[in-house]
Amino acid sequence: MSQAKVLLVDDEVEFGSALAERLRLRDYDARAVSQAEDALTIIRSDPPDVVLLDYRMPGMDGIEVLKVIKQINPSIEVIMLTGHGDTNNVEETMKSGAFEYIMKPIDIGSLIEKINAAKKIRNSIK
Amino acid sequence: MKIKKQGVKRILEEKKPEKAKCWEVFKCKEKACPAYKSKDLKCWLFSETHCRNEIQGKFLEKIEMCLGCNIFKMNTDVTSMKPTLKVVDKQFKEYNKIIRERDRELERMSMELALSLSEVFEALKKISSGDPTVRIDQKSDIELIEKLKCIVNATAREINEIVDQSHEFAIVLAEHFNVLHRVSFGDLRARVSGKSRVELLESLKKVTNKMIQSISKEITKREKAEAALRKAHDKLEHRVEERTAELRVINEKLRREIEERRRVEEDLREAELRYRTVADFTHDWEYWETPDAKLRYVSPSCERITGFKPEQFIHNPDLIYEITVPEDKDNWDQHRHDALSMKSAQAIVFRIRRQDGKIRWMEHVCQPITDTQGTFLGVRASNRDITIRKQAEEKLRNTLSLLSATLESTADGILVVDKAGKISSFNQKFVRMWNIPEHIIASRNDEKALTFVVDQLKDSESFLTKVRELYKQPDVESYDILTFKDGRIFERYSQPHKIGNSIIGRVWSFRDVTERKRAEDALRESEQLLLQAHKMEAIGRLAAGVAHEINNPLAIINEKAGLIKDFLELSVDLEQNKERFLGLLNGIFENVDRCRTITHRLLGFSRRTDVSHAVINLNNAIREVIGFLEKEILYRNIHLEINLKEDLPEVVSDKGQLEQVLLNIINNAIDVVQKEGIIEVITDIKDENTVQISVRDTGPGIPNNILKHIFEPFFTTKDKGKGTGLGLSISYGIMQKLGGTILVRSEVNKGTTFTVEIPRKTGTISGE
Repeated sequence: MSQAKVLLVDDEVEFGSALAERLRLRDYDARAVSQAEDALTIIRSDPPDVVLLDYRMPGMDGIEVLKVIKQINPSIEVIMLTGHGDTNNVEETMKSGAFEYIMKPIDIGSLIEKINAAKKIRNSIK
Repeated sequence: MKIKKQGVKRILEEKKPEKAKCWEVFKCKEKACPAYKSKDLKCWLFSETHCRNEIQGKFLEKIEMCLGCNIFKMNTDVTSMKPTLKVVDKQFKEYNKIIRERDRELERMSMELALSLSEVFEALKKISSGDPTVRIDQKSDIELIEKLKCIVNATAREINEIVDQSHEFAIVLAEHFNVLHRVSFGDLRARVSGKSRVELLESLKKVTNKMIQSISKEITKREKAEAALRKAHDKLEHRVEERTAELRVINEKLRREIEERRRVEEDLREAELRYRTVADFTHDWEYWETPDAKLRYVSPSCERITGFKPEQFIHNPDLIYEITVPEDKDNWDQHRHDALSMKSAQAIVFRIRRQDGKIRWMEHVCQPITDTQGTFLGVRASNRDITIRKQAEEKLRNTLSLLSATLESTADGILVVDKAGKISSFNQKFVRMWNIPEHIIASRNDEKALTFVVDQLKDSESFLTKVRELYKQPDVESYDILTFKDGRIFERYSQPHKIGNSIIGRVWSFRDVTERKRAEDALRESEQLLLQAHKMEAIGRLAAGVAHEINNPLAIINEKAGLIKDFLELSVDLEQNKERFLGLLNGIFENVDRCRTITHRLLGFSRRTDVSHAVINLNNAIREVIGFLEKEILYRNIHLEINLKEDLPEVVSDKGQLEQVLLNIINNAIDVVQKEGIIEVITDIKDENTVQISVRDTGPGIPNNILKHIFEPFFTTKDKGKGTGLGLSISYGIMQKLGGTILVRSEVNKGTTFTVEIPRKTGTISGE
C-alpha cells in the first residue's frame, strides 16, 4: 500500500510547510496550501486521500471548507486541526463529516496514525 | 256911435261887462261919484270922477291899467281926453318930481333900514345868546322898522319875563320842597312863605300850607290820644312788673330745684354709662344673676361666645344650663349650688354648645355681690372663652406625646443635657445602648453617666476630650465615630439645644452602625470581587483568543523542532545542512518571541489593579488593546478600521483602566457584529481639554428601551453564562472616576457608537 496523498490547509505558512516536509520525510505525498480556495482547486484537480484542515482560518473557516470538500468528493477524509478551546466545535465538525480531529501542537506519531487510519478507510471504500 | 255903443255893449256883455266897470275896478265907494252913480261905461280918465281923485297917488299905475282897458280903447271921444291928458302931463311932471324925491327918500330909508336891521340883528343875537334885557331904540322914520324894533323889544321883554318867572318857579318849588322835607321830618310849623307874582305858584303855596296845617292838626290829635293810651299802658305795666317779680322769685326756686334734680339724674346716668361701657365691652361674657335666679344683666359679648343674644339669656335664665354639654351639666349644677349656698367666689371650667353647634370651653368665675347694707344682691359671673387655650393645650399635649413616642421609637439613643450638666431628657434606647444602670440615670447627673460609659470605648481618652471640648463650645455641632471594645461602632452626633436663638443645652444622639459598617465592608469587598470577576471575565475571554494566538506559534515551533529532530534521527549531515538548521531554529526563536509578546501583554493587562496616573499616548494604548483582539476580529471576518488622529494630545490618566474600558467596548462590538461587518476605532480631539475615542460597529443596534439600561449593573442581553452584565456598568464607573464619560448613540439595524471622552488631565472635567 503506497503512502497516502495528503493536502495540508493552514493559513500559517511556516506551520504548513514544516509539517508537510516532515510528512514527506516519512514518505507521504504531502503538500501545503495557506488558502482555502487553493485547497479546493487541488481537491478538484488532484484529489488527495486525506486533507489536514485548520479549523480557524481567515476568509472561509474550517467547517465551511470541510463541507465543500465533502460536497466535491465525499470519499476524501478530512482531519481537522484545532487549537485548545475549540473543543466545543469538534462535535460540529464530526457531524459535518470530518474523519478525525487533532489538536495543535501536533504529536507527529498520533497524526501519522490518524492519516493511516483515514487512508485505510478510504481504501476500503474505494 | 250907437252902433259902436251897441258893439261895445255887446263886447262887454260878451266879456262880463260888470267886471269891466272902472269904479268896480277902483272900488269906488263914493256914491256921489259920477262913475259910481251913472254906472256908465265911461272911462274915468275922461271925466271927473271920484275914482280919479281917489287914485291920484296911484295915478300912473291906474293910467297904465286904463291904457290897456277895452273901454279906453273903444272911447273915440278924444276931446274929452284933453283934461285928462293935461292932468296926466301935470301929473307926470309931478310924478317925476315925486319920483325924484322918492328916490332920495328911498336911498335914505334903505340906509336907515340897513342900520336898523343891523341893530335888530344884534339885539336878536344877544337875546338868543341869553340876554333878554336888551332894548333898542324904537324910533325910526320907517314904520316897518319901527314895528320890527318894537316887536324885537317886545319879544325881548317877553323872554325876560319868562326867564324871571322860571327863576321864581325854581325858587318857590325849592322852598316847597324844603318845607315838605321839614314836615316829613316832623317840623309841623314849617310853612311856605313869600309872595309870588305867579298865580300858579301862589295857589300852590296855599295848597301846600293848607295841607301841612291839616297834617299838623291830625298829628296833634293822635299825639294826644297816644299820650292817654301811654298813660293807661304805663299803669298796666307797673302792675305786670310787680307780678313778674313775684313769679321770678318762684321760678328761680323752681329752676334751682330742677337743676339739682337734673344733675343728680346726669350723675346717675353717667355712672350707669360708665358701668355699662365697662361691662358691655368686656371680652368675657359677664352677667349678674339676682337672688330670684333672674338675669339682671348679660354683657353683649355673650353673642360672640355663644351665638345667643343677651336678651335671649335674660328672657330664659336657664339657657346657660341648656347649652352646657350633657357631660358638664352635673358639674354646673353642683357649682351653682356651691356658689349660692357658700356665697363665696367659685370657679369652674365647662363646655357649652354654641348656637351653631360648635363646642366652646368656658372658664367660669362667679362672686356673690351685696349692697352697702350687706343685702345679698345675687351673683356676678364671668365666662371666659378658653377654647383656643384648651386647643393649644391639647395640641401641646399631642405634640409632647408625639415627641415622646418619637423619642422612644427612634433607632438612635438620645440624651439631652442642660447647660448645668443635668440630664434633662433621654430615651430607653440610649440607656440600653450604653448599658447604663438605673441608679445612674435616675441621678440625672451627666458626669456620672459619662464616667460610666467611657470605659466601654476603645479610645476613651479622645472621647472624653471631645466631650469636654463640646461642653465648652455650646453652639458647635459635631459628629464622630465611636469604636467599642466589644467591636460595636456608634455614630455620635451632637448639636446645641436651642429655644429661639438661645442655647439651653446640648443634644447627643448615638446610632449603632456596627451592622451597617459590616455590611458596608462586605459590600465593598463584594464590589471588589465583582470588579475582579469582571476583569477575570474579560481576561478569560481574552484567554481564548490568546490561546489560539499562542497555539499557532507553538504549533510552528513544534513542527520546526520536530523537523530538526527528524533530520537528526535520519542522521543528516549537520555541516551540510547547517543553514537549514539555523533557519529552522531562527523560526523557532521568532515564534517564541511571538508567544512572549502575547503573554507579556496579557500579564501586563491583568496585573494592573490600582489607579495609577501616567502620561498616556491613547493611540498606542488603542493599538495595544486591538493587539489582543485583532486575531479574533480576523477569524470572525470582521473588518477593522482604525482611524487614529495624528498628534493626538497625550492624556494623564490610568492606562490599565482605560484599556479595560476600551477592551470591554470593542469586545461588545465584536460580539454583535456579523461576518463582514465593520468595527471602526477613531480617536479625535473633542475640545482643548478633552480627547475622545469612538468605537463604531455595524451591529444590530440597541433599541431605545434597552439603551437606557445598558449602564446598569447586571443588565445584559447576552445568553446566560456569556456575560455578567457588569462590563458597561464598570466602564461607566471607571470613566467617572477618571473624570471622563461614556456616551452611546445607537440606531436599530444600523449600529452603535460608543464614545469615551477622556480629560487631558484627570479631574479637569470633574473639577480640580
